[in-house]
Amino acid sequence: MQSNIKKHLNVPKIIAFVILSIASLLVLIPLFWALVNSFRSADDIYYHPYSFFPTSFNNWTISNYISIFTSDKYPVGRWIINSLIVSLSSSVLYLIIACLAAYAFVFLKLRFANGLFLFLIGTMTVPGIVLTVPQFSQIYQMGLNKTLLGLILPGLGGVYGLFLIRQFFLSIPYDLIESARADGAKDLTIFTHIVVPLGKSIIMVQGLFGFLGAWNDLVWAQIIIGQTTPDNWTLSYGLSKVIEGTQTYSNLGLQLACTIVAMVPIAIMYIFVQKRIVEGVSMTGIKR
Amino acid sequence: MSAEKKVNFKKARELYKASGAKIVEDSIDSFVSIRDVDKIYPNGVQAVFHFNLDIKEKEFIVFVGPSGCGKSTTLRMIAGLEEITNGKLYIDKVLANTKSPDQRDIAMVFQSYALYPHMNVYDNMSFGLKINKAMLPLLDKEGKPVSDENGKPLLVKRHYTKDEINDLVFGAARILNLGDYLDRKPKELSGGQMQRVALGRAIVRRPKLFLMDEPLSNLDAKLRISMRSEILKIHHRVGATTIYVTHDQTEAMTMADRIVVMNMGHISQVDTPRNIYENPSNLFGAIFIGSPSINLMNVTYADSTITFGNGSALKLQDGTNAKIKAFFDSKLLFYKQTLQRFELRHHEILPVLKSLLRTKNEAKIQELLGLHYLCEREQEIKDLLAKVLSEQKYKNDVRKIMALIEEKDHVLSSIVDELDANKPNTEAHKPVVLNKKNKGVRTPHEEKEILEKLISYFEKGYEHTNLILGVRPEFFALGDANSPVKGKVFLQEYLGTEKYVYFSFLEKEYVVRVSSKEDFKRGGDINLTFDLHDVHLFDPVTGLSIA
Repeated sequence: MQSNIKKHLNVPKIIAFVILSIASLLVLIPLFWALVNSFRSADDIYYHPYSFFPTSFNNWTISNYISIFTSDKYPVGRWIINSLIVSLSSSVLYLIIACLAAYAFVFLKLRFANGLFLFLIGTMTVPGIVLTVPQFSQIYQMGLNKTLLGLILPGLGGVYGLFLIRQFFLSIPYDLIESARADGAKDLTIFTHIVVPLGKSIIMVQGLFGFLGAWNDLVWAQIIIGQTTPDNWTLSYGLSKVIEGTQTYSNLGLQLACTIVAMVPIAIMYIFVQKRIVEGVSMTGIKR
Repeated sequence: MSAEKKVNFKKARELYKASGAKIVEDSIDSFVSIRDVDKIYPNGVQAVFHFNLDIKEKEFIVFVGPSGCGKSTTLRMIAGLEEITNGKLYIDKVLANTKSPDQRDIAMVFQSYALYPHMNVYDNMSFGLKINKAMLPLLDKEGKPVSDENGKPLLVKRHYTKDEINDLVFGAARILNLGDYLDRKPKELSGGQMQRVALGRAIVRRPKLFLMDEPLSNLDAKLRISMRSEILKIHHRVGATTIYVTHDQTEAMTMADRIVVMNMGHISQVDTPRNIYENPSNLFGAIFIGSPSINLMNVTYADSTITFGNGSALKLQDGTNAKIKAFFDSKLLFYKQTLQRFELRHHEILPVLKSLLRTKNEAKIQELLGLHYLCEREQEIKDLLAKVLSEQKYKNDVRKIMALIEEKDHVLSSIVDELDANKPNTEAHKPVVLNKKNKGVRTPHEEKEILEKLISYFEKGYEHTNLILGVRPEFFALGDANSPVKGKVFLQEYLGTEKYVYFSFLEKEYVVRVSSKEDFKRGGDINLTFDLHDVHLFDPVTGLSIA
């Protein structure tokens, strides 16, 4: 029996496992270090910079977190709400627009649809940073400068998510759509009852991407809301200000705590969406 | 858009609205009427040519033909999933060309079943009910139907209630034996069950018209046979008009009230299964319907006698002789007339129009106005000619007329296209006509060439012409040494009560059905004779049946 198992050692699989383990460790160790050191007092980090863990039990502290959440200068709760508003509305609005557009591209036999789509794909070659100035001038002229709406709107024209969703919709058998049409469904019904439920997983994934992008966005946030009072800041921008403020005395623990605070909502999001990412859509209702 | 056209458009729209957004044709007495329907895809390929069919209420119609013959395209045009390029489609006397599928009151069953994978069987079957409104009895607050003063239930357009949906779905599930599977997802069902769900989804909506696109071709042979009778039972029970598409001639023969045999986008024959089997109107239908296929033998006709390649001759009955003569005469006359029309337009009218481009000659225009153009757009041409006569700047109109005259001739094209359709695409009986070039569209010149070939063929007359003799495998009888057909057996298929014996005769292979008691040796001789009542004669050039 044992020799049997030995014979069937899957060498390529073992190599892959080892490589993946090392890669995961490389990703996870900094995260783990950030988590641990966010609970470490500033002095301890300063005097023992090469120690991975707090040097003694007394040096474990939650003071970093307390100072984030209690500071009068930094309304962190407000920032979280602002960030949630921006991230949720921009990702949800984007999903609505992109899904409807993808539906039109795939299932409505429109003239020039392919040409238009190629053009849209072509715009992906323009680096985002190039668009910053024109976008800012547009937002400024619309009077949305210094508002959260100014953070939400520019992201709604993205092509990448549309491309992703369109590719998935292409894999939905056209028979299903025609069958729904023969059942008497109109396009909006087909969209809400057939296409969206089938594309649930890809929509979730794109939603997560959109949420992450908006949550972590710093450059654009700095441009739009940088000159406003702290009440209007988003979490990522606000925390960057906290870090900036600590640079004179280098409170690394506080900086790391900020990072962890910014990460937690994302992690929670991920736990919910992760199942959907893995879950494939079974197409066995169609026999080929 | 000219002012005149604008007014017409407005008027048409008012008329359309006044009739409840319906264009009703009361003269139609069939349930589905398909008039001169063409399908030309955007890339220029024509899939369906001048399709004409009237379907009576409660009829079970089967479209049958090889793949790519346009049968599914036609069905999809009736369903509204495919646009109709030319022609008219009436469903229940209402013009349905521009109606979307949900307005046509149809239900369709797809080959792939197309069940919604994220819904269970119940939801799949109730989907069409949930999303549509229908004319249903008005309900009071207790859910009881409200009657008018005459005691008839009042009908209103509303959504189905939950109870009504339940009743309909459970009713359909009972008919189809799906009661135990209602909460399963499609992926947990077998092929036959998925098939039944797809049928159920169609029947719960109680549509006026059922459309089925090869619904059984994904099932295994045994299930297919049982589902065949299942579908027929449902048809008799529900009584809805059904159009069923298949490539399987057995399905067509066993299920249809009437079969529509299609080939290369044309209807080759429409008739009851029995009539198609016994009196095929052309070679294609004769070969396609019947299993094993009909035996086709090349014979020479001369002096009321047909002669096989080996010299053995058979005297035909007197009636047959007259039929062959009539066939040749009528075809010759018809093709000559068509050619005349073509030449009139191209060799007489066009030169006159060309001269008009140089100088305006009113006498010539009057002359043209008096002519018969014998084409569909004659009135249009004459209106333009009248305009040429009255106006100073006329050259553009003359050019328009020239374009109309040079346009493809509908009748000529259909003659030539049907020649292809009548003949099977097998190696031995390839269509004789020119190969199609340029996406399957022939130029008028090419069509004329074909017409001339046909005329010269029919002018040669029917004496000493080659014909094709068609004998169904069961119409052979075993004969003696004097029999006309003397073959060598090379294969036998034993089927229980009967067997098929394959034999070669004059270097071609044929099949005969005999009682299984008959014994043959491989390589042995087989002598066969047949009754001239039961055989068919075909013209090899046009593929049409003569007698």
